Parts: sequence; C-alpha cells; structure tokens
Amino acid sequence: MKNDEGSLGKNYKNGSIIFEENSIGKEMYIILSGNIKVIKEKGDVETVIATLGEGDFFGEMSLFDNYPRSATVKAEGNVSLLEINQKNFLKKISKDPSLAFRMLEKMSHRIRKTDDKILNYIVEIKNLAEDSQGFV
Amino acid sequence: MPMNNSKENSSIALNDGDKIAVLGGGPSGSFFSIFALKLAKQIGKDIDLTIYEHKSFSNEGPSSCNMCAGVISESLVQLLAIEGICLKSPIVQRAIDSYRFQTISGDVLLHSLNEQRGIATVYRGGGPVSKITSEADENPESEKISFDDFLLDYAEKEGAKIENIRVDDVKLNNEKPQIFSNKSILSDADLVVGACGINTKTAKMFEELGIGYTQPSVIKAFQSEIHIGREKVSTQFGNTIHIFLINQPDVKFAAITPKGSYVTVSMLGKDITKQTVIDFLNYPVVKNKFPDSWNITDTFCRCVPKINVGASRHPFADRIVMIGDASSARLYKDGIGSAYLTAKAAANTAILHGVSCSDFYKNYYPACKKINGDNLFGNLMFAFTDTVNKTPVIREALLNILRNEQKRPELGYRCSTILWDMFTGNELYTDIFLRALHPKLLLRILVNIIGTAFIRLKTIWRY
Repeated sequence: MKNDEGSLGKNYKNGSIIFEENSIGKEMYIILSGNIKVIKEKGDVETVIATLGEGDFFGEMSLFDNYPRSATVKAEGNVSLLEINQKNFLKKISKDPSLAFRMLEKMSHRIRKTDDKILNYIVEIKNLAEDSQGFV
Repeated sequence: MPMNNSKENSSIALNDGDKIAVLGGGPSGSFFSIFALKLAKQIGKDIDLTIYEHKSFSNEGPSSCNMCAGVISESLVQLLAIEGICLKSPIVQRAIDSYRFQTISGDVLLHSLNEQRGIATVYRGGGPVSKITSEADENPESEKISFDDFLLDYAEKEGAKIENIRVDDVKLNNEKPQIFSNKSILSDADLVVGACGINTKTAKMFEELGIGYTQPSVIKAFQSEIHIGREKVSTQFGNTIHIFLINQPDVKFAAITPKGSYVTVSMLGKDITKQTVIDFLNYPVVKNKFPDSWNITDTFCRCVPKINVGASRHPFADRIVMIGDASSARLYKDGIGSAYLTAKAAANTAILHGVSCSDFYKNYYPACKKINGDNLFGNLMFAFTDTVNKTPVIREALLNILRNEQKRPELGYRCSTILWDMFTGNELYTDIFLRALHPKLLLRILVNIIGTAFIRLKTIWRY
C-alpha cells in the first residue's frame, strides 16, 4: 500500500517517546505494526525492561490503577499504534467482560516472565554471595 | 420432542469431538469460529468446526464479494485489536479520520475526537472488476486484500476447517441436523450455525426447516465502485468519508468512501438504479468533489445488496443458531459490527452454556434483542435526519451549530459527536438518542432555528 493510506491509528518515528515514566496518561495502546521499547530509568541509567511487537499492548496499567506511567515507552523503528482512551475501554469492558480475558492472559504471561527474571537474579546474587564468601 | 423445542427444554452441552458446521464464511461465520475455537481451547474442550463457503473471496467483482460499503467503525477496529485481530494494509484500503457532511445548504467537516485514523475501509472480496492493469500490479497477487478472506484465514489458524462447498440443504434427523450438498449428505452436526447473510438462498433453506425462523425484512442498497486513480482519491477525498444529504428524490442518503484507487458510492433509498447513481454523480455538489478532467464512465462495478431493516423471528432452535445479518443487524450501519456481536454471543453460548433452544434463548437472544431494540431509536434518529434534510431552516441552524463547535472547541462537541456516532456506527442509537435530548443542546438548536428563521425573514422582507 502506498503513502501509508491504509495505516490505522497514530504513526511514530524511530526514537519517538510515546509516553514518559511518571507522566499522567489515560490511554492504552495496541501495536498495529513495528516494535516499542519499555524503559526504566534509575539515576542516569536507562534499562530496557521489555520490547513489544505487533498485537501487544501497553499503557493499560494506568487505566486500571490511575497511577502515573510506570515506565517510558519509545518507538523502535517506525511504529503504528492504536490508542484507546480509558472511558472507551472501560465502556467496552463493562459491555463485554470477556474482552478482559485476552488482557488477563497477556498480563499473567508478563507476571510469569517477571517471576522468572526475579528468580534468576536471586540465584545470581546468591551465587555471587557464595563466591565472595569463599573468596574471603 | 420437536426440533424447535420450547424455551423450557433443558440444556444440551457440546462434548469433546462434537461437530459444528458453520454455513457461510463471511465475517459472522469467521468471528463465530474464531471465538468458539479460542474459548473451547481455553476451557480444554476439543470441538470439530468446519466452515462451508462456496465463494472464493480473492476474485474480483460482486460474485466473490459479500457486498457492503466495507466500512469498519472505530469502535469495532478497537474491539478487534483488543481481541488480537489487528487490521492493517493491504486489508485496510484507507484509514479514515474524518467525515464530511454535505447538504444543499453547505457542508461541514468533522474530525475524529481521538485524533487518529481509527476507521477502516476494506474490500469484502478481491476488489472491483475492471481494475486498471498498472494499479492492479501495485499489489502482488500473493497479497490478499479481502477482509473476508483475512478473517477466514484467521479462523483457519485457530483450527477451523474450510470446505469450499455449497451447502444446499439442511434436514433434521431425529435430534440432530444434517447438511447436504448436491443431494448427498455432507455431515451430521451437533450444531449448525447459519452465517449465510440475507443475500443468499441458504437463509431460505432455514425458513423451510420448520423451526419458525423467518428472515429479517430488507431493503435494497446500491453500491458502485468508481475508479479515479489512487493519487486523485488521495487529493480529492483524502482520509474522509463524504455523506450527502442533498434531497435527491427517493434517496435517503448517499456516501462516498475512498478506497485505494477507487471510491465506493453507496446509496440507500427506494428503487435506486444505475441512472440514480449517475444523476447523483451529476449533482454539482457531488461533481465538485471529483477531478475536473473526470467524466462518469458508463461501466463501473456495481451491486445491489439487501440490507436488514427489521429483525428475524426465531433465529435459533435446538442445535441451530442464525447469526449476523441472517439474525439481527444494526439499522443502516455497522453490519460487520453486528456480525461481531451476534457471532460472539452465539459462540459464548455454544461453548460455555449449550446448544439447546433454551440455552440460546437465555444467553444468545438478549444480544439480538439489544440490537433490535436499539434499531427503534435508530429509526427515530434517521426520521429526524430526514426532517432536517427536508427543512431548510433546521438544516441551516444545525450546520451553524456544527461549524461553531468545530471552530470553538470550548463549546464542546455535543452536536458533532451525535452526528459522528450516528453515521460512523460508533455508538448505540439509544445512547445517541438520549444524548440528543440534552436540554443544553435542545436549547442551542432552538436558539439557532429562531436566529436562522429571523435572518431568512429579514432577507425576504428586504427584497
């Protein structure tokens, strides 16, 4: 398709910030094409905590808990995103609660991944601690 | 026990290995299959689902097309994305962000409040006939552009079997339906899903089954695909659907929808013919939208689909359920959205509750009743639009309100969102109707009508 005429949603160029950590947002996003990076900042250090692609969604946490954004999201390459505002989203869920199934499925998947990462870090730290004890 | 059992009969659950036959591979058939298979997988049920569709949606022209304007509302685009069905080009022919309402008193351009291109225009089949060769080459043959094909592929990925066969009879044998093709039995089924639309003989087959099913009442629409070239579609129509309320005799409303290198002209009214379309295209306010050098061609791809204006009766029985257009559809708008709603309600019922008449009555029929009830308000809203269209003072007053809202956002978009939601099919007619009764809006309309009438009287008095 020429000239992006069939491209739905909003288009972002490589490196564009979609939202920043601690900003207030009432929208969730679904990735129609391309990839985004989820970044956490601590001091001057930026850590990419996830890369999401087509069909994934993000920004949904603020919709449910009304807290500021928990991370910064940047476009990795050209990205098309469909934006859904909080009111529309909650209206849809109240009409058809089964819509939440897929979100719960994805969120459960993310929690499992996070659990695995935490476990790996704990094991690494334990190993490092044991190594350093042996060294002393 | 008769097949069209009373509402009192008990539940019939689908068991592992049970067969579902879906008659029709349009959006309602595909949506049903996708949701039923996903849900069955989630609860660990193994069902054997086959979609019977004799058409190939990849060919050009009406014979491979399920014939509609091919506009997917903003609300449905979002619902599908949440479901994991993301629409993009080349399935999306053009992403729409605005509607232009053209009356004989002037026009107004309304933009999506979400400030994004949220509405999709699609081809249901492989596109119009007589494509210009150079432009047909822009999409490689391997690249499918049919929305119906895209959904069918999605259903297949979820585990549906697709049979390119015309089912020409359904019979009831003891307590199970059987489906036939060319007088030979194809299969017994534990559930038959009528996703056959209203443009086919298949729906008639269900009427003759003796379950009390009656097709919805219909009117004819007229769809024409006019080629003006991709660049000209972009410069003349952009990402805007044009709605015409221009008092053409026997025409309720007309719309021009940009798609690729074509525009789809959709007309709704009484006895619309090819000549009505040509007359419409010759109206100065319509002709102005087309390039100066463009002349109406004598041949263009066209079809006369039927559209629902009423509700079907008894759209279910034991082990049989009708969905999509064959059951209930929203008045004049969002047919694909109605297919989604009825298909999902039927799939949830079949997998989670059961397939008896009583199961469908309790769990599926409310979705149909909601659409049918909402259409009563739709009728009121369209009757009001007709009145506005035919009454110059009200028409001009409303145009003033809409233009003011667009120029001064601080006024809010009360009137604009009503018109937007009504013509985009984005919201239920009931919601729109209730919003239209807001005292502030009614007062604003009244003040503008008095103002417009006063200006008109002053002009008459001067001359």
